[in-house]
Amino acid sequence: MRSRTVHGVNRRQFLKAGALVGGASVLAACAPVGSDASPAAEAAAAEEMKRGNLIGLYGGPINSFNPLTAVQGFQSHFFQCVLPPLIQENVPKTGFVPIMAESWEVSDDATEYTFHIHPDAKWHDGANFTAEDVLFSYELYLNPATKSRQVSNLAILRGAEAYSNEEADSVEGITVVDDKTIRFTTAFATGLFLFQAIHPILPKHILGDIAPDTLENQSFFFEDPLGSGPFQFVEYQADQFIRLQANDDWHWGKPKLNSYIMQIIASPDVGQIALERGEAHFNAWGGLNTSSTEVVRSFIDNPDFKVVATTGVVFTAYSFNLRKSFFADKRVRQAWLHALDRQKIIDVFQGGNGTIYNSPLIHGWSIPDDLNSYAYDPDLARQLLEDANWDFDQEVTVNLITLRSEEARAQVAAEKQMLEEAGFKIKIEEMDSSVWVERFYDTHEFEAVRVGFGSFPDPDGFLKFHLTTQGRNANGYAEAIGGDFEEKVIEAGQLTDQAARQEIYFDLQRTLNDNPSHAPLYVGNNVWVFNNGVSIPEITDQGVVGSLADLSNPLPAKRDWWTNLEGWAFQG
Amino acid sequence: MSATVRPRLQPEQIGLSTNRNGNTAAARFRRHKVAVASLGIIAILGIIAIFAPIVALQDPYTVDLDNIRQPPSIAHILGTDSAGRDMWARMVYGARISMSVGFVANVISISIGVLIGTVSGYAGGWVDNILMRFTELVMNFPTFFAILMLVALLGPNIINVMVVIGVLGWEGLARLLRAQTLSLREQAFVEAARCIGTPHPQIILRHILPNLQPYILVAATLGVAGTILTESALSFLGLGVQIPQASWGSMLNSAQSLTVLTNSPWLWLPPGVAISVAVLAMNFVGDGLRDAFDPRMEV
Repeated sequence: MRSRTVHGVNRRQFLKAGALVGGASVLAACAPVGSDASPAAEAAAAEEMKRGNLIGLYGGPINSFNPLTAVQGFQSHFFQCVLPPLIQENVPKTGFVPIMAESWEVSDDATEYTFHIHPDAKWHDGANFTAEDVLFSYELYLNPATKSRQVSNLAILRGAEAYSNEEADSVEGITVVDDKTIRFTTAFATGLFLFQAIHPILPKHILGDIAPDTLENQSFFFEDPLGSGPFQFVEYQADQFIRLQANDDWHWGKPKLNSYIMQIIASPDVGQIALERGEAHFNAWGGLNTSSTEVVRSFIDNPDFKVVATTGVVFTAYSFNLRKSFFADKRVRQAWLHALDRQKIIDVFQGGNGTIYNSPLIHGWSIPDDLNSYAYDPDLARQLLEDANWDFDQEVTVNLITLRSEEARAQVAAEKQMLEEAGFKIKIEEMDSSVWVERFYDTHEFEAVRVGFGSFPDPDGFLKFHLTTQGRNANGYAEAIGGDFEEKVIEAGQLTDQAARQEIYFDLQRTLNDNPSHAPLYVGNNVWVFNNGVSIPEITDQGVVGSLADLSNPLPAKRDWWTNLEGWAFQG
Repeated sequence: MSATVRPRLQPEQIGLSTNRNGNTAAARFRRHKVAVASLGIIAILGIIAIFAPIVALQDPYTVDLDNIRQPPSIAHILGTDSAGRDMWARMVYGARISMSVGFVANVISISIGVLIGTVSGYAGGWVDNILMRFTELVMNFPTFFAILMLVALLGPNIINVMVVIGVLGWEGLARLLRAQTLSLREQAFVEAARCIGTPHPQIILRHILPNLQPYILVAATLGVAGTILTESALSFLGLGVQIPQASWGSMLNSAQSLTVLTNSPWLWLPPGVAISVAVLAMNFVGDGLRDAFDPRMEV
């Protein structure tokens, strides 16, 4: 035996030795380069470390990366980073800032909008970003075969309807002037087209050869989107995270961050723990239960965080079907508003974190200061019902999209009790969102609903969509109240003089306040929790909430910090 | 003379029920102390559910926004919930919902199971073939997800929950009863009934069904436990009772919040304990009954 070991190497020993040598070689190859690294590489690594990787929390999976069908706030964040639009609203919502465009002009008669694309704008694969990409994208937005949700919004463009109905091969109102210039022409004078220049632009050189009706299933929208924004897509682990890398060639300057990770979490509680442990830097979209007073207070009291409240854009409200004869008398709907102790609801269920509105148009500039504030007064509510000859045996069914949280259900139970104390008889009926949508928007088979309504960037959007016969007309409001309500809505949408528009909206607000289509409960404020290590240009010390009481004085509409993510940095 | 001679099968003939020495199933059940205690617990829960308006002391739906999430006190022995409602009152009314869902859904599933099982086993042939293939088809649905989907589509309310759970929970019993019926229909007394021209439905009702009673009883007891759990799970996910009703599962829903979980145990502990106790008790009674009807168990 011994001689065999000393004098010869058998096959097994040879293989073992070979495997050892091979393994060692592989390990050596995989080992860090260490001191052999070039000074340039070291400097780059150090800079990358210094720039840092920002982690934002998202409270649910992303549907897709398809801007044509997008509805989620999560998707908006993604598009803002990777597939940005020509322009976007500025932070205080007083105007617009250029993104893929460098500048734009509006003709004196407010029908022609000419955008000059930034000369250095490029796609992440190096291809030139041109006016053809914009034309291509807007044709997709106007093509119902793509299941686009923007067809009706963009119908204000000249020739849009003919194109959408396949009666024309191109959109008359979109003209490519040159490689970097595109002109949109509206069918009538309107100051509202800029709100339609905020849709993400898609790359024609990647998607141009694909049939529009098969577009939604393309891997581009699920696995490998290519964009032109300040961050480029790196990878998406379904239901876990999306990793974005800074686009150092971004035409407005290199982002200060190295990367941005959109961390998807299973529940807001996980978000709370992740923030507390420093594993994430802020709650980006539904990543934290900010309606819980205890949660918000814990972060306000924690010196490692800054908490900021801003005005939200979703208002929770009851909406009435005015086709029902028992809602015909406006005093019944006024009684509904007086019956609800809205401040109490905000204090108890929203941690004091909400603002009361008295009409469904929540755009500050459109609200006159003489609206009825509908103070909580159950006696007055009962009196109004009696004056209106209300049948106190009449049961009103309120449709709700199924509430999954017991806290939300407790809030609805409290509202039900308030309404019943005033004399209403309420039946709450929960249903799946698809059934709810069908009954509310399509068949109008409802008496009242309670839901969170989006407010649209401009009052025009909400009015036309919800309250006129041009839109979904869920409430049957314009027909029910008669007069020139609908004409005024249309007129205001066509005016370019903001002061004149404001006058009309003041009028419409007074109508909606006195003869309510909705009983708005509140607009929930957004509460943001930031790790102190993160520096955000728009946040000043004055914006930081020091106590729960400060939550009721939110910063006006400063909600879109994430639209300027490239300006964020880590301190020190 | 009537054609309905009813030579009921003697227990020992099918290996069930009593024996001649008075060693009855009831006696065997009484020997199972845990099962007897569990039966007592179920009886108490039943009484609480039936007399809820008296036992609850307070209205379970009255909201008091000035007293939300109060810990247990003299005024509210189990504290108050997120809308200031009395937890004890909601627990009591929750028992009503949870127990009635358990029983009604079970009645539905047992009715379907008995019908399909006995007809399939008795008729045999192509009827058996079709019914059993259908049973297997239903059996292959992932039941809980099917229930989730149906409740979401039909709308979450207590009637829908009962019906959906009932309609999707009969396959096991149907197969069990079919097997037993196959054996019973070959017995002499069934042959005799057939020979004197007793109609088939009558044979099933008068001769087969009484002999399946022990199996149905055991399945029903265990089924109620399962149904209470399913209802709790649905309500926990927000697909159970309508606002402002309470069931134990919907009350447990608040435990999904980390802050409630850590700071307000009175919101989730009582319904959690109630579900556990009710389900355990049902299972023990089911075990006790199974043992009692098992002829191999001697007193």
